[in-house]
Amino acid sequence: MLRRSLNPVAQDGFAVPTTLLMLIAAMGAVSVGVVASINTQRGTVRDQGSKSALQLAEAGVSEALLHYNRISTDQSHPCKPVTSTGPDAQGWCPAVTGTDVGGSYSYQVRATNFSFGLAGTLEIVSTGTTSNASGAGRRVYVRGQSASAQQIFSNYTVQMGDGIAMDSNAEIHSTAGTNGNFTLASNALQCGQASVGVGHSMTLTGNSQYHGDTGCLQSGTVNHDEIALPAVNQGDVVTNNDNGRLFGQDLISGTTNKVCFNGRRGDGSTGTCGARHLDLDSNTSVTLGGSKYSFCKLTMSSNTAIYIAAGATVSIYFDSPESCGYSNGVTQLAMDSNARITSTTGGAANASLLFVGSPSLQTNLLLSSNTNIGAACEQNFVVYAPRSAIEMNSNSTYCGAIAGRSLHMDSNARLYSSAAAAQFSIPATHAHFEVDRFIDCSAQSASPPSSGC
Amino acid sequence: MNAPALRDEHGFTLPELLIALVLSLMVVGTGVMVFSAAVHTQPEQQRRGEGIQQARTATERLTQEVRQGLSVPTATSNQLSIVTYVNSASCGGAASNSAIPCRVTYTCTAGSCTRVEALPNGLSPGPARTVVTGLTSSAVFSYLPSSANPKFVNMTFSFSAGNGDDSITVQDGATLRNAGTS
Repeated sequence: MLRRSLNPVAQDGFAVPTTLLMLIAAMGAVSVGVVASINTQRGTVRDQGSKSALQLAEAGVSEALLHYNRISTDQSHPCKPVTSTGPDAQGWCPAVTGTDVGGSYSYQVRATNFSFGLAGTLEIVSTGTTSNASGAGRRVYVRGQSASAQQIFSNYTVQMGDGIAMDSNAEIHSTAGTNGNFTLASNALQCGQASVGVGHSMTLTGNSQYHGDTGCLQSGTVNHDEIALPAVNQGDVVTNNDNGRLFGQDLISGTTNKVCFNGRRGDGSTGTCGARHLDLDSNTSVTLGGSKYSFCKLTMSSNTAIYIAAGATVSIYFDSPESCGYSNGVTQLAMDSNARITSTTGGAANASLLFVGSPSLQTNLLLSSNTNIGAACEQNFVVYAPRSAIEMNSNSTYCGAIAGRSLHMDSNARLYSSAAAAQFSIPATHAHFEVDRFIDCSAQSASPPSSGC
Repeated sequence: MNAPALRDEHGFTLPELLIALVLSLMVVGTGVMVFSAAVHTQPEQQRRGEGIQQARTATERLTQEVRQGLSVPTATSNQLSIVTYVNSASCGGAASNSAIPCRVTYTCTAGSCTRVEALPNGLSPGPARTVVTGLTSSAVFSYLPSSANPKFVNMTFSFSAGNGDDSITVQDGATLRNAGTS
């Protein structure tokens, strides 16, 4: 009896303090892990929020681009694609807000550089704010450029996105700019103001020379200007064109069965050329009198020519390799053996070759034709191929303006510009803005919207 | 006379006390060991947390600079040189509210990475500033589709771990959004 009554007293003596000690020890051990975990989790939440906010900001940019690429605008209503209210004094349209997964976004746009009523530049500042615990926000600045109706060649009549390489006595007598490097070797000659990309340079080796004037008399300094070469928007030219004029109204000179287009020869027989492929062979020529043509490929060989009819202004659009069913590395323009494209009465701006190209499949242009017969210009046309690599060689002399992804000149090729080519405007189709600048802005919000970007 | 009272004064027996003492020592010892281990681990936990945070800050800055990059003049596993927009009044100078193109070079050697800002052509470099320490590998950068033509830059920061713990690896990457313009 007595033993039984004493036992609880004995147990009280060490159970309570021991339990307290254990609890304190356990809490201490757990709290270290909890604190460390909380710190890590806090960083994780902030990281997730930051990334989510960036995605939301980009959602705003995508929405703005989509609206401006689908809804036409003009100088009197620059905000029409996104809001009915006009812009402020600095040209910025009122903020447009929206929501997406994980938060909200707000963006403002400014359309500038109008030509023939079409904007050439679109600036977008978009802020994304996440709805998670971090409440993180990110602001981005995006600039888009459109080629439609723009005078692309006003600053430089030779423009290349990735770089210019000249070799073997090649000469450019024109202003020339690239966003990449400019390399001259083996007696190559650049006469005219040159520009290279930010962080890039001009390299002169093997007696090559650079002069700042087209007369090759003065020394020059190299600019670091930004070259914008937006993709070609061909509009509805694939279905609405003058291809039907071939060869009924646009007549062949020479043996008609040596000219082929769209699977048919000039004499009406079946040819081996593919869809929208114009193939001229051996001493033939075609005179184009329409205004818009849609080709997939143009091959000219052995003393062939394309003439532009008197008074005509011709734009030849070359469709994308995907639409034409071509594989990577296709040559969409090949001129060989004394081939020439020239206007019978007009200048270079009367004939333009516009290449849609592809962001994923490489396309090439080969201009080599041995036509250096002493005259100033055997070729008179404008080439705008911002996604294509251009190769010029074999003693050719070209007059006009050329833009591409890259240019390699070799074997005594010569390139001259003309005032008319410098004033050439890309045909005015619906604007298609292509992003050429992205900046992660520093501050959350600012006035004007692009401040801090 | 008072036999029951005398019997009440009986204490614990010696074996009971010894057993209670041994049990108490075991319990208290276990508690002390746990507490001691926690105190001992705390600095390591804090170091790991700081390492993760340091790596996060570095990757956030790097991904931002890569994302708005124009070109990559140098691309190796331990060095990334990128022409990108930087919020500076001049390359290597004081911070500014507007972005200008500068060449930023990250070099990772002997457990740490430094950052140098220079003119876009690489001239006039500013001072090297350490951005990450405690790395176990200097091979931080990898490139897609290739180092000769980098369009996507991947970065991996690996930190050592003590006491047999797993090492810390913080990984991120970004596409050069302005690569087509330069």
